[in-house]
Amino acid sequence: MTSQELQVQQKRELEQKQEGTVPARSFVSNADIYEIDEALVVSLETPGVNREHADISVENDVLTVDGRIVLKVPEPGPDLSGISSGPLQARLHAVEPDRPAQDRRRDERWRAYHYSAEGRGSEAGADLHRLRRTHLHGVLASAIRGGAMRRIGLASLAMAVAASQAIADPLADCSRGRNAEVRLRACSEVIASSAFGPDEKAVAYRNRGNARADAGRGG
Amino acid sequence: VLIELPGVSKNDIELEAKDRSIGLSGSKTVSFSGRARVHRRERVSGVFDRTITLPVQIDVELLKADYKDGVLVLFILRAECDKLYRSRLADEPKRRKVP
Repeated sequence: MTSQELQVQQKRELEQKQEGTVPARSFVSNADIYEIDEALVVSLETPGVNREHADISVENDVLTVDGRIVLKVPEPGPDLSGISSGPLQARLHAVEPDRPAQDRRRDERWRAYHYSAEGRGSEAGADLHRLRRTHLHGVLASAIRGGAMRRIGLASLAMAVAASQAIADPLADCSRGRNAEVRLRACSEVIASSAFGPDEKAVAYRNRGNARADAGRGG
Repeated sequence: VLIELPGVSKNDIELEAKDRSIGLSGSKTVSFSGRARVHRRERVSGVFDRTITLPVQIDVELLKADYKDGVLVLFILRAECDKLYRSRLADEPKRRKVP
């Protein structure tokens, strides 16, 4: 099986409904939500958020993830203050429009978790339904046991990062990409983009021709 | 240089540096356990290959890479030949005026 080549994903900016206390740009992050026999798993891509700075809570049928992007640099370098901090918020609503009667107990248990999360003492079953979380390579996975969140609607997922990111360089890929396919795609990107001038596009046309020849696609 | 690579294992990242460019390649896998019923799928898997060109010559020997929490941080030092030369006018030796 051949792997699909990943494209650079531009972050989608979130429309803020309310004014935040931290002035930062917010983006919508990628999420996988799937159900296995014993739990419902929500995986969020949260690069730059470590275990200590991610906080998960459940309130009013909403799973909320709050986090902060903290990048620890090995030695004092250039000013990274613009990149080093920002809040992350994720809200996931539990939607159960046609919940059968036998599932109610599960729902109560799930609410028990909610109470224990707020520190109001342990209700019956609360300890059985702890939210299990794992954090690996910038992906935060929350396993919600009990199956109460049968259907999940992703309400909003915001990640704040600084504007100064490592920017991919299609011009460089166009001339020096590792293989013909990479060069071909990068050159097409340069040709199609309004960000590049006629001189750069002329070079891109030439490189694309060469890349086509290298890829064996012909003129 | 900061690169976001959420879900990519450290062992799956390959880094190449030469002159003024850095090449980064690798693969990303997204796996679900056997009998998973997927409600929403936004994360993608596959291979990646990027080249980043820098405005200065880099010192490949002193390149430092740190990967944590899905973010790859590269510390790149200027090569000796591309280092900025700073001097204050006051420190310059006085020159005689040419008549």
